[in-house]
Amino acid sequence: MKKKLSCVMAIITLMMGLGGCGGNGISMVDEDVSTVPVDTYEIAWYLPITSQKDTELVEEKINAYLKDKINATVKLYLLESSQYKEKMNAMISSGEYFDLAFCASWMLDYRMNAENEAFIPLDDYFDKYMPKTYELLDKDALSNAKVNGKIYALPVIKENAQQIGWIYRKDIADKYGINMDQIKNFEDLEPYAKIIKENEPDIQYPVDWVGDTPTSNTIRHVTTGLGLPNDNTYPMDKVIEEYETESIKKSFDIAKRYYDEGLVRKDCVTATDLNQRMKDGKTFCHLAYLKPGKVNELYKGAKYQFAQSGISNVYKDPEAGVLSMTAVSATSKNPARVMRFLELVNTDKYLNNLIIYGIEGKHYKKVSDNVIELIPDSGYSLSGSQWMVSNVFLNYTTTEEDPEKLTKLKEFDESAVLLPSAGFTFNTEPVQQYVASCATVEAQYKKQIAVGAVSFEEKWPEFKKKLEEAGFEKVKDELQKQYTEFLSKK
Amino acid sequence: MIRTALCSKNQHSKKRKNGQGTEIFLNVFFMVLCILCVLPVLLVFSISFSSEESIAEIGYALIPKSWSLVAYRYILMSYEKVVNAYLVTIFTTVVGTIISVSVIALYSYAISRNSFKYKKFFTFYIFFTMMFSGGLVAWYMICTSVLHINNTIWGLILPSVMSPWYVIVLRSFFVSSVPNAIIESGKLDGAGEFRIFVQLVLPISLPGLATIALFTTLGFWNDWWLPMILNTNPKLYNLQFLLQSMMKNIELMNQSEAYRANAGKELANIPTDSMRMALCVIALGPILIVYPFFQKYFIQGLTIGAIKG
Repeated sequence: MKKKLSCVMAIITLMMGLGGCGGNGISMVDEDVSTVPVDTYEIAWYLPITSQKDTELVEEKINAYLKDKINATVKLYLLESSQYKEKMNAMISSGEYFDLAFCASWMLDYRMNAENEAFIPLDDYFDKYMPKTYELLDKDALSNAKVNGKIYALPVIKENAQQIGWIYRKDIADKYGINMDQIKNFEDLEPYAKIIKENEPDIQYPVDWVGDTPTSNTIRHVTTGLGLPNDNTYPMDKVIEEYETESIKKSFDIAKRYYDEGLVRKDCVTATDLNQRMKDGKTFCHLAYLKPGKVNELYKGAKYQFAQSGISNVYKDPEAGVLSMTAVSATSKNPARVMRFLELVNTDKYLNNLIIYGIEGKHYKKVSDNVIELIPDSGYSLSGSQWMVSNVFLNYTTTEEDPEKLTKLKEFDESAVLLPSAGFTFNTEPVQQYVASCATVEAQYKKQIAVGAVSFEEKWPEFKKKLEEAGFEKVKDELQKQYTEFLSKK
Repeated sequence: MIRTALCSKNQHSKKRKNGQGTEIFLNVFFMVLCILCVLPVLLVFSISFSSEESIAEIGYALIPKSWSLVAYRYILMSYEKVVNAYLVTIFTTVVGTIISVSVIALYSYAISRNSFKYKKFFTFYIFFTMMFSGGLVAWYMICTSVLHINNTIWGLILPSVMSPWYVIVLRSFFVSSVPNAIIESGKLDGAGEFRIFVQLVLPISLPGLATIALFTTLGFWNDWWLPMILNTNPKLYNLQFLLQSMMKNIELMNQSEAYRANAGKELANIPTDSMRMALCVIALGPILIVYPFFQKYFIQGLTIGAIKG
């Protein structure tokens, strides 16, 4: 009996050993980019986009097009966003083969997988296989994407600018002569909010917010209660304790006043349907991250008229680059071909739009050179998910969109200022456990305070004590250490 | 309800005289309990048929201000997907339950018999897997690179066919409710082991088998994890997975700032509240029909136990 058991054990260990090794040996066969390779290679590309009925038809088209270019075929694995993370993690940890996968800091933890070398570092291959793509890439985004000095995934080429601002009911604003461009904070908004509350019975709550709505313009939030300075309001070389700043105290006070006066929904601590309430005309305005045309995308076809207005500077997202990327797997059997494919997707307009919008005549109709009309329920359309796939500036615009959308996006992007701390990312590993327990403490208090359900003055001593017990100082010291190091290198 | 009936019947025959008060109390008590159970389900139904405006205005209500089919229309917009998912779920549930119950019954019957020489080893063998598992990665590798059941319908069935817990439950059932005398009498009449199992043991073990069958049916019906981890082929999405994905899309739109900042108009027009409930109704339907069928055996199991004492 024992013999049998140990035999079984031996086989199992052997198999695990074999599988586990799969990920380590990267076999890079060089290719000459000027020639079309003889052998056909199938590229397996995984994306967290809802599956489409006609994926196979589109694949056929893509394959026919690629045949004379790089002699590759593409298999698009469109996974549900609900399964993507776990499925891909299982594949990566078991060393299963795939070529390309979407990843980001918020999906399929890019940094962790990069550190574990699940992806191939691309730095050495830009010149050879992706020169044009490299030209197009935002260099700040690229440097953000570095892990241990190397780029493990290709940032998707898209706008990287960000702005905080209002989204509001234009019909109501016009009715009461409110100029939202003049209103830069909740304090300015207060008298108008009261007027609306009194005169518009349909609008239950003039203002709406969720717990994570940004409250400060001058601080870049990093982790629990800690931030970095965006301008000279605070000393440039010091980490900021957010809860000790005057501005946050003031914003909490205002939040409390709004809450007490019924200007904001009482259960907004737990509610998650902000967009829905807005669409139903139950609120006047809310804060959001803006980009040109945002309001059209968000509230297309709603009954009411909406508009947007920025209140902060347009700045470059400090996380630009890692929010949407394409990684080449270490298990890929022909990375060179895969990179040549990436170059094509990011520079070839036809291929790019074929992947996004499908086949002309079947899935969309061409209106003019750059404008198309989508055919409803046609069986294929990745529109709405372009930003996960590749170079969005190559996309056609649809008839529903502003024809100038791409130019506007580009202008918006170019107007963005770089934050002084751009490129800095907090490596939480040395203080991981403290970061986690601080976050737990914050979850207990922050949301209620931020929306004004409880008074900050009352809760802060208790909150602070718990934060300190959770190791807040250690996190702060570590962040300061890394930040000082970052500044000295600059 | 059946319970109520049974209880009041007993009360009736035994303590007719002083039972009047108790009877009223029991009836009222179970009525209230029944309403408490049924009301939420009714609420789910009516919310799923409410219009978004009505929900926004008066919240969840049994009788909404205005009815609407928009949630179902949204789900059934891709009705091919839903129908296909239904077929997959029904197939995996039926086939899975049959295979699962047969395998579990065979295994547990064997280890319930004292005359089986390796009884101890095989009991330990199955018990061991209950305490220690190889972990997700090892399991995943076995499924994908040894058995190659990923992206096949068997990937949705085979991994959850065997359950050590049910084996041990059913073994206890065999030990306690199949008298040795029956097996011996079968032997005396010249029946082989297999015949004893099929013709003598199984018929008197129906309540036990039905219990296991119910659990495995529910398990297969409610499974969304296997298609999530093993399957990338949209044709093999089962119902729960499909519904869960729709649900997740709504959540992503509402919660993740990164997603919301980029997500397009497709996601913005979903009737969120009523759709959640409509998804519930769609997932609920058929299993409601199956349940009473099994319940018959449940009651039988209870009464058989009672007679034998």
